[in-house]
Amino acid sequence: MNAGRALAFLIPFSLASSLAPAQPASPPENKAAPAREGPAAPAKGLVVFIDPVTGKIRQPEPAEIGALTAPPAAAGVPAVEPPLLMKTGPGGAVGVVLDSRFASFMVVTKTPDGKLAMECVTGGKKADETVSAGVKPAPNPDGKEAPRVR
Amino acid sequence: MSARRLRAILLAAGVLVSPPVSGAATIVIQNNNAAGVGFNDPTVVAPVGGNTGTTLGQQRLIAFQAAADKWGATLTSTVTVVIGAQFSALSCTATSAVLGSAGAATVWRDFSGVPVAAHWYPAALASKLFGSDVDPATPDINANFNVNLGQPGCLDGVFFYLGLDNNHGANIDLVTVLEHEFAHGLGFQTFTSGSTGNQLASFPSIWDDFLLDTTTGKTWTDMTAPERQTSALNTRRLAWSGPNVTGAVPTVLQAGTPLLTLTAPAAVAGTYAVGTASFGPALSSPGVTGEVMPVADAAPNSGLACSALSALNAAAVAGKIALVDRGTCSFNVKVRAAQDAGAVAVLVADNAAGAPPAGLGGTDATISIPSVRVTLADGNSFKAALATRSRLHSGMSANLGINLAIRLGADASGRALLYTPNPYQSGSSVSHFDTIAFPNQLMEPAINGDLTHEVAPPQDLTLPLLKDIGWN
Repeated sequence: MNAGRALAFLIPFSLASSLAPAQPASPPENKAAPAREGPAAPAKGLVVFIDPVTGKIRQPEPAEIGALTAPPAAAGVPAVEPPLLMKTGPGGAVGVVLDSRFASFMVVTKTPDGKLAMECVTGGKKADETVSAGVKPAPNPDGKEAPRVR
Repeated sequence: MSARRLRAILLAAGVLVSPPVSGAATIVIQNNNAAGVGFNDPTVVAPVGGNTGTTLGQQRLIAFQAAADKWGATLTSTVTVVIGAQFSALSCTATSAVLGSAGAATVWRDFSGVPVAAHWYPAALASKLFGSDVDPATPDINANFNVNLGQPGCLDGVFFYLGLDNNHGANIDLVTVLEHEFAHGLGFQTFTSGSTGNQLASFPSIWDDFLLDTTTGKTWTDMTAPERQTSALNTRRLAWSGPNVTGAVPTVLQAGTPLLTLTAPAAVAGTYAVGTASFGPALSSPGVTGEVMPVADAAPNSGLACSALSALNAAAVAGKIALVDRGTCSFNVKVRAAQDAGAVAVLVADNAAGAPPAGLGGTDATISIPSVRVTLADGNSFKAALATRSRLHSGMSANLGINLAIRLGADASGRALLYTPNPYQSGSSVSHFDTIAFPNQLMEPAINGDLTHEVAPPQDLTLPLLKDIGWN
C-alpha cells in the first residue's frame, strides 16, 4: 500500500483506563540530550463516527460529536478519552493506530526485602501509578516454588 | 514502499544494527534516538556477556537485536518486521521504575488472506498473513525503554544488564524483558478491555477466540461485555484453547498441582485453589483425605484458633481437616492449635477478598500436618455447607494434596491457564499466563529471575501460543 493513499479517520473509544500523560514525570536525563519522542499523534483526518455498539459507520448525535471535539477536562472532571485513529489498508483492510493505552509496560519495584519485583501492566497511566505506589509485594503470591511431591 | 526498500533505507541511514542472523523471519530495530542519546550514546564501555559493542549505545542496540533475533529465529514470515525503538526518560523513583514499554503500533482486520474475518490482528502478524506489509509507513511494534535506569533517583544502582548470556546477577536482564515485551507486540495480548469487557471498536481480537471460560464453556468472542468482565475475574478458570499450546503443555509444565478437592456435599463438590504454607510438611500425593470440621471460637461464626482449642472444638477436629479463620494471630499458631487438638490438616479461610489465595507465611519446626489458605469466598461457601452438622461430623469429605493429573499452570483438561486474579489487575490480567505455571514462563505478568532466553518448548509456551493465533 502506498502510505499516501491511506485514509485516516477518528473514532471515539471508551477505555477503562484513562489516557496516559503525554510526559510522565521523571528526573532529567543526566548524561545526554533529551531523547526524541515517538511520532506525534496525527492531528488531522477525516472524522468518521463508528457506532461503539454495532461497529458500523453512522451519523453521530450532537453529544457524540461533542465528545470528539471536547476541550481538555477541567480539574476534577474525568478526561475524555481521545479518539482512536483509524486507517484503511490494502483490499479494504481496516486498521487502528494504538497509543500508549494499549502498550505493555514493564515496571520494577524493590520489595521490602530488597528484591526486585517486575510486573507487566498495560497503559502508561497504570505504569506511572505502579511506580508512584512504590514498594509493594511481588504480584505472585504463590512464591513460585515447585511443590514438593512425596 | 516495500519491506525490502524500507530496510534498505534504514540500513543506509545507519539506524539499523548489523544484518540480523538469518532465520525464519527478519526483525529489524529502527533506531529512533537522536545523536548522542540512547542507542547513540557514545559512552565507552567494556564488552559484557557476549555483547561486543564498544559504546553504551551500541550495546543497547545489540541487546535489542539479540531479542529480536530470538523471535526471528523461531517465527516464520516473508515480511520484515520493523520495531521502532528508542531509549528515553520514563517514570522513576529511587525504588521503582518503568523499565520500558512495547506494543503493536497498529492492528488490522479484514485484509486479504485473513484467516478469521472481523478480528483484530497485530500489524506484524497481519502483514505475515497478507504476504506483504499492510502499513509500510509505520513500524509494526513500538518500543521505548528507560534511559536513566540505575542513575540516582531511578532505581538507584540497578542497571540493565546488556550481556547476551543471561548472567545478569543483581541487575535486570534486558534481553529477557525485551523478549517479553516484543511478544506482546507480536500478538501476545488481547485488545479487548478486561475491565469493561468492551471490544476494540466493537470487534474481537484474534486472541479472544482462544480464551475459553471453563465455567461457562464460552470463548470471549462469544460473550457479551458483562460476561467478559466476569470471566476476567474467574480465577484459574480461563484457559487457552489453542491446539499448539495444549499440545505443548505436557512437555513444558510440571505435573502436580496443589488442590483441595471436595467430594461431598454436592453443593460444594469440586476442586479449589489453595495457597501452600511455608512451614510444615509439603503437600503430597495422594494427600490427606478426611472430613472437614470448623473451629468455632469467635463471633460471628468464626474460628480463629489462636489458643488451645476448647474441649468441644478439640473433639470436633480430632482426626479431621480443621477449618479456621485468618486473623488475630500468625498462621503457624493456628495450625499448631489445631494440630495439638488432633487435626490431620488445616484450611485457613482468608478474611480478605481476593483470588487466587496467597500462601501461608511463617516458620515453625513443630508443625507436622499440612496446611493451606483458601479464599474468603470459598471459605464462606464451606461454612454455609457446614452450617448443618453434628458436633462430631459434617459430612464434608475432602482431599488436600498434590493432584498429579493436573499440571502446574494448566486445567484438568491440560489447557494452559491465563492470569485472572480477583480483583482485576489492569494490564496483567488475561494477557499473560497464570502465575502458578511452573517452570516459570516468559509470559507471566512478572519476570522471574530464573527465566532462560528460550521461548519455545520444552522450556516455554510462548511460541506455541503465537502459532495458535496465526504465526505458524
